[in-house]
Amino acid sequence: MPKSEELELLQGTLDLLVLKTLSWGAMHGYGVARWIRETTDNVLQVEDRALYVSLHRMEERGWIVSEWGLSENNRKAKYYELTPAGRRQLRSQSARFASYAEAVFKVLQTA
Amino acid sequence: MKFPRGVRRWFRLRTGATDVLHDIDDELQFHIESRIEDLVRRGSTEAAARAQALREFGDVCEAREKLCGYARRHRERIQRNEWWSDVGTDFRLAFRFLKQRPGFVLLLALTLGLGLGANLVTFDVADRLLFRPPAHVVDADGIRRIHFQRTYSFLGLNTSSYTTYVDFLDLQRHSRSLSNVAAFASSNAALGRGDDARRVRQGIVTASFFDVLGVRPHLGSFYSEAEDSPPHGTAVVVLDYDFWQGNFGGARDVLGTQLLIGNTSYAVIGVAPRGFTGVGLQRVDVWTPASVVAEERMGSDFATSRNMTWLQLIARLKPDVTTEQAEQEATAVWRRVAEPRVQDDHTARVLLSPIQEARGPGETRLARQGKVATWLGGVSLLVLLVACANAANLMLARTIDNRREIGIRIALGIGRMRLFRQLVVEGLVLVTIAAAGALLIAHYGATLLHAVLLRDIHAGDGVLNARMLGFLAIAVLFTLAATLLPPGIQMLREAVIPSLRSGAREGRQRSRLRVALLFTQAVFSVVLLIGATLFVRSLQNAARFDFGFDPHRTLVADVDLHLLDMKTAQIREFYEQAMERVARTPGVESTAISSAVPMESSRATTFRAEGVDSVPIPPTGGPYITLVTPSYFQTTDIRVLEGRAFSNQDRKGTAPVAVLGQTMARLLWPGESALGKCVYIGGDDDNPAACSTVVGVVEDVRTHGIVRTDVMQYYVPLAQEQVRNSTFALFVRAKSRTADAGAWSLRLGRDADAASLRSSQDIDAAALVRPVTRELQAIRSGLPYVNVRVLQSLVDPQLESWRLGAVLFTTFGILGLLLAAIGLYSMLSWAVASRTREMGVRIALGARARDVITLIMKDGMRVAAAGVIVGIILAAAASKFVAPLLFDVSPREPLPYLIGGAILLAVALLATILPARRATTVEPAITLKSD
Repeated sequence: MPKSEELELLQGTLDLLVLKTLSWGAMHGYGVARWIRETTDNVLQVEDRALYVSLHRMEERGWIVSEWGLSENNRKAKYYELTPAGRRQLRSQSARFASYAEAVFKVLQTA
Repeated sequence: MKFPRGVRRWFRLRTGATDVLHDIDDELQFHIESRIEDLVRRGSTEAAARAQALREFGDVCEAREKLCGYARRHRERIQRNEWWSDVGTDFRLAFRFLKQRPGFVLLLALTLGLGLGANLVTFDVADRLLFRPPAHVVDADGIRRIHFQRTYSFLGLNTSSYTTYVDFLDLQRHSRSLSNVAAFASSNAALGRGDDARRVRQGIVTASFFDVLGVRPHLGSFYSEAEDSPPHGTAVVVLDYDFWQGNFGGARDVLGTQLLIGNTSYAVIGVAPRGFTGVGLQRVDVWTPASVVAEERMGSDFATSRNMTWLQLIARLKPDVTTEQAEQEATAVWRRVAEPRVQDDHTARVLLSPIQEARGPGETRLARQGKVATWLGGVSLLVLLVACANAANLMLARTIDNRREIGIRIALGIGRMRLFRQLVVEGLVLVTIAAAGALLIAHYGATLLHAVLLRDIHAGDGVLNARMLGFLAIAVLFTLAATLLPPGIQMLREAVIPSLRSGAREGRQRSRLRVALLFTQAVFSVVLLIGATLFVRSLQNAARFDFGFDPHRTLVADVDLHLLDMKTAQIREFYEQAMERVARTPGVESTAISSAVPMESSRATTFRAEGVDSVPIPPTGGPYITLVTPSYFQTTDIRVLEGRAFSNQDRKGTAPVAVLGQTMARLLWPGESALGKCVYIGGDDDNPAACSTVVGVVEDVRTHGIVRTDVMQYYVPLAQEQVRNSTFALFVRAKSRTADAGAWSLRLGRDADAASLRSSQDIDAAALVRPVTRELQAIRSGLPYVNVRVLQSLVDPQLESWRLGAVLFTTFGILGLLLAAIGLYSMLSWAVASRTREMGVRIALGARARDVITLIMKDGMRVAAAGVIVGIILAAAASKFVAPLLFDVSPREPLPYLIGGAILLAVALLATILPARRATTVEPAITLKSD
């Protein structure tokens, strides 16, 4: 996909996306990247570096926890999972993003 | 933590910084390789896929760093939480252990509590005497007491704290190293008249006194220099707080009230803050200006006369002046302005000492008590060590009992440090309980102590304060360390495999550590017991000290009739009337009048003896003269050794006679009889005295306290008036109801005079106090305070430091003994319990009960005996230092050592018999089957 059409993500929304992704179940970092790419039909290109920073930061805050495990092809991988605190974050951040998007739309639709 | 199905925890989370980095590398590597795989699957080449994957990722290095930071912080948080939850678990386990074995815990806590409590009490005593500045004194470190050292012709080199008003003024005006000088004195005084007459403790201080101490009044104000300057001060008074509360109900309008103290009416101008006692430790009821009291008692030349040394001085050092510099400067000042005798005396010096009276030079009572307190501090430390040894022993036994459990836990990987930490938490809980108990003991113990032994020291604001709590904290830490060291060592060097083997018991291999602990306990206990014995004997000797008179059955009564402006003849008539009336009172055996009260007043006049060129004067001074009525020697039970006492024939107009004390007779005419010799009393160059014939020699009276030095004293009949006299005292001898002198009783009470050891004879004498007072009051109305007391009350304060030592040493000795007994008992019980298998085998093999008992007891007694021997050696070595504190007891006497050793051995015997007997009740069949 041509680079000019890639949308750049705001910092906070990446966290939101990762949290939502993990709400489907425990995943390793690569799995999260792939999921986001597939679900957004390649529209959102997440920079992997940023993804891992987001994952580790959220782990430090206690929204997700990590565990080493075996991947589908028997390789050692680090799996992440939501905590109850993380679920609360997901709910509140979703709501906030929704109202933010709604507000932006309202302005755009006036034109 | 619940995991979704399929993800298992196979590895523990790695710790360490490099491990964190490895983790991150692994994670990123997985990501990159997965991406490469995907791309290859979609048709890329390996190389192209790798390049693309790396490009998509972004800056790997920067990512690593950032992720490292996050991971490390996260890891730290997890470790911290783990640590706290571990500590919580430790506490939970400790409390569970408490509930499971309450007896064990109680014993431990009691042992440690006693040790800690003893230390708290002695710390309180030592603190009050030696370290704590008096209440409400600001910056006590800058204040010094002033003493004067001189060589006297009859006393030799002597240090005195007392000086004249003139010296005070000189130092205050001329000293440059002392920023402010103050003078103080205290005495008992009569307050009011008639039925409301009371005795109060009067503080006589200069106005600068309050400045030097930096104290602020609670109500009103203190008096100033303007009100306290010679030649006339203003008659104002400051009340003590408790006195104000007790007598005026704490009313704020007390200012301006007039109080009649002595012969002067004072106006109340202020109230001192609560607990203020000046620089001493004794209670003071009223504070009055020195100039006013001096003028009243000594006449208008009080500020220039050098005859009366009655004031003590304190001063504040100027900043940046050392004590030595101040001493030198003050010495120079003093010698410049003092009388010629001092100026010529090259040994004359001014000495400065800290504000605590017990730290001053010389052999004052408080200095002695201070030394005793220091010793007691050491002794209580010994008791604490014994207690710690006990506790350590018990904890060690428990650790050894739990060897198997500990071995299992170590094998499972818990780590010895973790176990040690659990031990520390257990110890902490125990010591906290012990500390709480110790505070209780300290509170009641110190209150008891103050009521019984340290009566004249104002107890002040209770026993619990910041300093004591600080000391408690230090003692607790020390106790914790001492108690946990042996079990800790045992735990940390425990070999795991042997302890896991089933049937692992000690067998013959005794823990050397336990034996060592027990040995030290025995040693300390013996030392304590020997010390206690020495002090008790010391007290006995002191109490039996022959003062010359009988303090138990004799009362003395005096009234300060000068306050009523009576002439001497009238006063004498009063006393003669009193003598007759009281003699008729039931319970009174005889009465007499004297011019002096033993230990309180003494008087000397010019004296010459026949055939003696210069009269020898011992350090106690003299020769002291007392004017007495004929019945005096009989009333006070002073034995007549030669010749006769006075009779009614010896009166005005008949030949003057005298009776000498035995030492005086011996010193004046050694080897000869004094009877018939002439002495010349009173008189001077213009009016030479006539010859008074010596008609009798009596035993000496120890009027200067418990000291074994020579005293020069003699008596003349009151009726002959060989010298002028205006002071009188009435002596009364009580009839004794019981023939034996042995009935002692201990009474405790709130009243200051109530707590004392009294014999049945004392009780007879004490019962006469009220009747005698009434008789005297009936002679004339409006009398100032009538002071009637048993002579024993004059003697008691002399015994106080010996009493202090004896009571406390005995208490600690018994305590140490108890702890050692508990220690022995517990060790042997435990030894028996752990050797049941061995006992079973022995009994099965045919050993008799007696053999088993002997075997067990030999173990215990061996340790006790070794402890006794070493303890005796130790005590003998230390006895040299304690000798000055003992009265008439040579520390080399063998009896106390034998007694101490015997007591410990006896107790050890008792403590070992019970477990030994228990060993014989072991059933061989049962023990051999069990593990």
